[in-house]
Amino acid sequence: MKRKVKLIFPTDRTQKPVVARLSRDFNVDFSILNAQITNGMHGDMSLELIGNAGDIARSIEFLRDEGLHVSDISRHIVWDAQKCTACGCCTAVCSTGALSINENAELTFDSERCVVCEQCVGVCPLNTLSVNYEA
Amino acid sequence: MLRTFDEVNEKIRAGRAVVMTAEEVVKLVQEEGVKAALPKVDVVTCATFGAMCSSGAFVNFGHADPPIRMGKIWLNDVEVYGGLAAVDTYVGATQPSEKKGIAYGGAHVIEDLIAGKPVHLRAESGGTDCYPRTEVETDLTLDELNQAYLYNPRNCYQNYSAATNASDKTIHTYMGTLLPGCANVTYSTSGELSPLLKDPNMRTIGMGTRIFLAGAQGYVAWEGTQFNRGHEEGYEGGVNDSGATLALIGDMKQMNARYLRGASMKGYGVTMYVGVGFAMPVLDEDLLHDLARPNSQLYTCVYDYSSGSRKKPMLRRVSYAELRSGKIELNGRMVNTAPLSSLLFAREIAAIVKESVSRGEFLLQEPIARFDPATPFKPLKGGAVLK
Ligand code: SF4
Ligand code: SF4
Repeated sequence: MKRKVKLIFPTDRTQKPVVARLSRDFNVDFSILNAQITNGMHGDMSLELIGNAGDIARSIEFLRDEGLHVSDISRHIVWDAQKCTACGCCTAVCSTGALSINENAELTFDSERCVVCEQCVGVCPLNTLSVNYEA
Repeated sequence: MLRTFDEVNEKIRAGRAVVMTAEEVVKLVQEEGVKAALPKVDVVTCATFGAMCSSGAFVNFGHADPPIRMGKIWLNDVEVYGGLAAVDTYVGATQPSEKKGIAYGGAHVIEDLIAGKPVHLRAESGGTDCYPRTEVETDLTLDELNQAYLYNPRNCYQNYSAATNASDKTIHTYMGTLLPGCANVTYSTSGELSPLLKDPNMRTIGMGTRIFLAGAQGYVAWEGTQFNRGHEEGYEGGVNDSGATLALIGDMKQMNARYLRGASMKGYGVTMYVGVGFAMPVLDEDLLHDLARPNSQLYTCVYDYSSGSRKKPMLRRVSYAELRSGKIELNGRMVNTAPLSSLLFAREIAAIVKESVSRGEFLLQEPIARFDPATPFKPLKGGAVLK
């Protein structure tokens, strides 16, 4: 299974290589979705954990024992309607129809239909689409 | 000829001209026919808001004391042309930032200036007897520049091909992201609102034509680069899938950043979205017939952009009404279509120009010179054998 989590590092832990131990000690693969860590300062990191449910649960327990704050995250697409010109470039890659041009030539974003595949994010030439990770 | 430019301008000055957008005139003529509609409309407005790579701006910075003959110049870390006189430059829209790559480029610099934001100037020089300074660094806003005018060598394509991708991997092009196996088709036009599609014989458009350029009143300066009016047989409307282009000029100090946007096409590069509007006098029945052509009678062709060659395979001819519907048939199945240029903004601009003409603030300029319809568009000499 896959589980997305956000880790918040306390000030004294950012230098400890705890994340590297997930695959070594717990058989959990991970990919880093987002990371903001400044040495010696508070930091956070979003991870996708891949492995079996028990291993993932144990690895999260380990991270908490190490003093990290761990929470599940949800992602959603944020659309900046102010900057959008309704050019339509993003609709070329949105296979679910969440982004579409309506009869008045406006862009509409239907978050109910969005599966957060993120195809549209880099495609918007005006950089009005982004992914928001929320804990 | 039924009406002349002068007669239409008289009416505009007197506040008596009837002005319609091209979409409105399509409807009028569909309901009443060309003959009955002719006395009811004097001026038709058209507009487009699309990505136009061949764009840029001439800027004069003014002299520092002691003065510098700028040789290498950057604005917000985007290199701009240093091969003009001491403090002149040309900001090319597609030049990427040396720090941010294609996320920011010349087009964004131009947008920021128009938006009133300060832009960081950095320039170097070897120093000369008359220009001893070797370095300068300062922040500048549009107000603080002397001249700043857009000069776009190629805008307003008369028509443009639609794009698909027959290969088995996604490709990123100036026609947007094209999914493998011809899974989508992109196109770029304002269709029945598009200036050069509506006046295919360029009877009202030539050098000197007054236009709306990103919020300012600008002008058609010259024929656009790659101007190509080679009409193909059998094309209704007498337009093939490329056609004429225009070089445009306008004062940045009068522009509105809503209608000029720096843009970054994934995997391709920096480009600039530019809003352009036209007002055409309805000279006679023939012209009204052209101006009233609906999307269902305006065509382009779908090409396979995965072919790396200049001559791409053509898959089918298609009307803009079909493309606008959101799906077309391609290779026996229905495929999603997506626009790349904003019809919403084109409509907004056509409405603004209509208002300006109605209020007598936008007079029509008869072309000072016309562009040679026979201009051929040549490939690079020996291009096919270059390594
Ligand atoms: S690509 Fe960006 S600007 Fe264009 S319609 Fe989509 S969100 Fe709007
Ligand atoms: S994330 Fe995927 S489904 Fe959601 S809007 Fe973007 S392309 Fe469409």
